[in-house]
This record gives sequence, structure tokens and C-alpha cells, in this order.
Amino acid sequence: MSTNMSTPASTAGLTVPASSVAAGGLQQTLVTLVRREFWEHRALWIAPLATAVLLLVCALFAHGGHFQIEGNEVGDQPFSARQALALSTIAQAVVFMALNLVAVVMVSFYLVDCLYAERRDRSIYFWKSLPVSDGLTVASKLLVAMLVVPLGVWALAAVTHVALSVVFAAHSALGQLPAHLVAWNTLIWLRVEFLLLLGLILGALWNAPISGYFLLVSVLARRNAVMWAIGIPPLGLLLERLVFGTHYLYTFIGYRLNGIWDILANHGDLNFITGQAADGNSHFNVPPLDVLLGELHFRAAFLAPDLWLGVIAAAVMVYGAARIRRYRDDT
Amino acid sequence: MKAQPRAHTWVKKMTAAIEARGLTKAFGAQRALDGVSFTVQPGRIVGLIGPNGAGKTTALKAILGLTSFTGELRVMGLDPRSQRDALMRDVCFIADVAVLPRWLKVSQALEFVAGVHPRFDRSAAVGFLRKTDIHMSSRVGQLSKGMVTQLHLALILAIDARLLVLDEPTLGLDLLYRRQFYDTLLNDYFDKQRTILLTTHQVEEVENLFTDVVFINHGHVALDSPVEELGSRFQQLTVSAEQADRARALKPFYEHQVFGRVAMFFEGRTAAELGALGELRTPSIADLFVAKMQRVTQ
Repeated sequence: MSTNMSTPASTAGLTVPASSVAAGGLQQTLVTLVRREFWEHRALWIAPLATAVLLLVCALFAHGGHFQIEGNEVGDQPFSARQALALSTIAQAVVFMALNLVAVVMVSFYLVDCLYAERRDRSIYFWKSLPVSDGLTVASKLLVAMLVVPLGVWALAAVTHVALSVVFAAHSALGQLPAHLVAWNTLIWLRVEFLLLLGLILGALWNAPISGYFLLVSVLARRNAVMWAIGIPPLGLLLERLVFGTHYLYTFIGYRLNGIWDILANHGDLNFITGQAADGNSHFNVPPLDVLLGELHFRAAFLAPDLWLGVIAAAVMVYGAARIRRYRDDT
Repeated sequence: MKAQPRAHTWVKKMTAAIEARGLTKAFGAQRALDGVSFTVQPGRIVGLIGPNGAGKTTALKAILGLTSFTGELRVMGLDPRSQRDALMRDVCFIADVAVLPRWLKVSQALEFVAGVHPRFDRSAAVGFLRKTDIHMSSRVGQLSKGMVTQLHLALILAIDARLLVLDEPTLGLDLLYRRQFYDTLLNDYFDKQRTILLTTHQVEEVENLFTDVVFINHGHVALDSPVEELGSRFQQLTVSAEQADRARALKPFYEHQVFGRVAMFFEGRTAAELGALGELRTPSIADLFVAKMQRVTQ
């Protein structure tokens, strides 16, 4: 874009039509804004990447370690291919959850900081001197938190799990790991990845109000944005307790944190759980994870009215954050 | 500028770059702007000059849609309150020095502006930077204060904007670079399609740059005039102590002692009235500024 532009002096007489600026420009602007976020908040990509590398390094040097399930050495057990596959899919999910946990922590700090830091270091005057609307700026930050980082972590987790599988296969080939512990099934792997992705999207949507709340705190806080973000909920709980003697807020926050997972798990009424409970003796006889995940009630979760009420609440808060950034006056 | 009789009346029919009517902004009981009115025509370099706390920055922030106010204000024909997003395609500004974030790399700064500004000429910015000691791989946090300003100016001057607003752009720069900057501004950047609004403390240095000056003090416009009309409007007369009383009869608006002689400032007098009394000349903008400001505070 910039390469085929002539010097300012020679274009001075021409007015660039606003429409041609907007066309194609919006996508480029958005991509630039998103890249900017990763320049500033490097922890967003470094922390998950470092965690993944750490997992791999641990796996590389894991020979000689012992896997134990319910007190028995895994290697000693007569292990079916199906169980080995189950183990592999569990590792797949654990890697995803570990990286996701790191990312959630990073993203939370990021959201609280992103609109506060630019006022603290006064760089907001630089950002605001460029033709980027406040709505687009806030949208780019939300996009990073709700889409780019989660998808990136999902992809990173997939790659990490493949790499881990290769490492374990190598361990096995070198005789450091019983061969019957190592299994691979591409179709099941893809199925698990797909289900994890669904869960990821569900989580991002369900937690959208929290993201909106963080952005709102970030744009409002005069100092110590993180303290406000963490402090307001307990303060609210305490106030309600002292003034009204009730704990509705506690119930509400608890529900807003976990509610969707309860719906997803059909309130604990899943075949594999009830089946196990009826069976009485729980030994390691779990099917590959795709079967378990497949039992989850994704349809009910995605259709839950509270999910979409939360998304609407988040949209209101994000809109508020953009308006406040636009009209806030710190002079 | 403001309702001045002009040789070319068609100039007034063109859309003014900035049109302010009764601009008012109060912080509590204190009025930073108290009914400020002025017009900036396109193709001018206007100096907004005033002491600290005079309301300069508040006026600039109102023009840039960064603060609320009452009164009428059109910038490039747009309302900065409701049409800020559209306005920023035509307007570029440096609102304050050292507002580039410390984590930003020089190369990233170029990439960012290129990515979001359709009228940014990257090669021009690189050209400006080549004249400095700034490296592409440096972070803003590693640069000296002067270098940060240089970087910011390189970015801004490479944008083809209709209106450029600069608030104390050379603060913290040494004399050599200040000269270089104003030369670049005048020779490479400025043309009849652009308008520049500039505030500065160092009035003496940029006297020759301005086409118009607006003096602002205590939220009021103290003077608003094209520079070429200052000569016919204002006179500076230096008289001996003996002649002082005769000169005072002609009502100078300000006077001060210089080595036993008295320098007096007049508005609207002719050379015929004053010439016989002493040494007559056109006051410099800096002297006129001091004279005007002292009068207001007296």
C-alpha cells in the first residue's frame, strides 16, 4: 500500500476519496491493530509458546519416569490398543487445557491492561492521531482476546500434542517406553480436536461478559486497574453480605463462571459417569476421549438463553468501553 | 483571518480550515476558554501563542475532538465532536511530546502507521529518519527524548494531511534539529493545500515561519492577525526619557524601560504621528507578544 504511494507533495492536489480509503483498508487496518497488540503484550504469545516448549522438553527427558494409574505401573498392565488410544487423547486434552489455562491468565491481564496502559503512558494521544475509530480499536482488542489467542492456543496445543506423540513414539522405539502404550488414530485425533474447538468457542462466548467487564475496568480505572478488576467482585460480595445478609451475588458469580459447563455435562447425567457409578469399581477402563466428549450436550449449551444474554451484556459493556474511550477527557 | 478586509474576497468563500465561534470550556470555576473565536484559512501557517495555562492546549484539544466544549467549531468543514473519525483522515497532530509508547520499535512504528493510514508515505518517513541517529531496531524506550520527538515528527511529516496541528513540537530538541525541523516543515512539507497550526514557547525562532498569529491569554483571544498586517497595525517607538510624556499622550498600550530609554507600543498610529518622537520600527512578534500579554495582566 505504502510502496506505490507518491510523495506527499505530489499527491497534495488530489483528494483521496473516502470510499477508496475504506475499501480494503478496513481489513488491513484490523490486521495491523491486532499485530500491534502482540507487539505490546508479548506475553500473549510467549507464555503459551514457552509452556508448550516446556511440555515438550519434559517429554524429551521423561525416559525412566513411571506412569502410574490407580497405583499400578501402567507398563505392567495388560493394555489394550483402545486404552492406549484413550491415554493419548487424554494427553491431547491435558495439553490443550494446560496451554489454555496459561492463555486465559495472560488474556485476563491483557484485557485489564490494554485500555489503561495507553492512558498511563499517554500513548493514547498517538493512537488517536491516526484515522482509527475508538470502536475499531476496542474491537481489535476484543478480537485478540476472544478469537486470535484462543484459536492460536488451540492450534499450538494440536501441534504440541503431535510433537509429544512423536517424542513418545521415539521413546518407545528406543525401548524407553512400552510399545503397547503408544497409539495413534488420526480420525479420533481430529474428532477430539474438533470437540475441543467447540468447547473453546463455547467458553469464549460464555466468558464474554467477563471480557467485557475487564475492558470496562481498563477504560475506567485511573490507577491500579488490576486491583479494581480483581477487587470489585469480592467487595460486592462483602457489601451484599453486610447490608442485606444475602448471597445472591455469590450464587450469580458462581453460575456465571461454571453454569455452561453444567449444561454441557447435562448436570452430571452422562452415560459414562452414571455407567461407572453403577459399575461400582472404577478401574482404568475409559474409552478414547472423543467418545466421552461426544456425549457432551453441545447443542443444549449453545442454545442456552443465558449464554446469549451474556453475549448481549458483553456487547453492551464493550460498546460502553468504546464510547468512554472516545469521549473521556483527562485534561 | 477574522473578518479582516482582504484583497481577494474569494478566499473567504473557500471552506475555512478551522472556524471557531464562542469556544468555551470550563474546568470547575476556571474557564480555560472563554468565548474564543477565530478562523484559520487553508494554506496558512498559524502560530497559536500564549503563556502557560492560557488555554492553547485546550483549544487544540477541542479542535482535535479530544475534549468537550460549548460553542461552534468546524474543522475542515466537520464537527470534531461528532465526526472525529472522518476528521482524522484529513488531520494529523502531535498533541504532546513523548507520547510514543516505550515498547514500540521504530520499524513497528513505521509498519503500524503504514497499516492504518492510507496517506502515509513510508519511504518519506524512512528518508527523514536517515538524517537522524535513530536505528530501525531500537525501541522508543531506548531513544533519548529528542530522538523520540524526531521519530514522531518523521512519522507525522510523512502523512499527507490537509491540516497539521503541532503542540510544542520541538520541546526538548537542540537548536540544530529545531532549525532542521522548521526547514523541513517549510520547504518539504508545506504547500498551499495544507494548513499548519502550531503552538510554541520559542516565538523568536519561528517568527519568519508564521503567516498568521493568534495570541491567547486567560481563555481570550488577545490578537488575531495575518503577519503581513502587523506592520501597518502596530508600531514600536523608542524614545528618550524627555520625549516620553509627549509619546505617552498618543496612548501606547505598553511600555518598558531599555537602558534609560523607553520602548512604547502603539496600535493604529501612523509614522507621521510617531516618527518625529524617536526611533520607529515594526515590533517583532516576540516583543508584540510580551507587550500584549503584559497589558492583559496589568
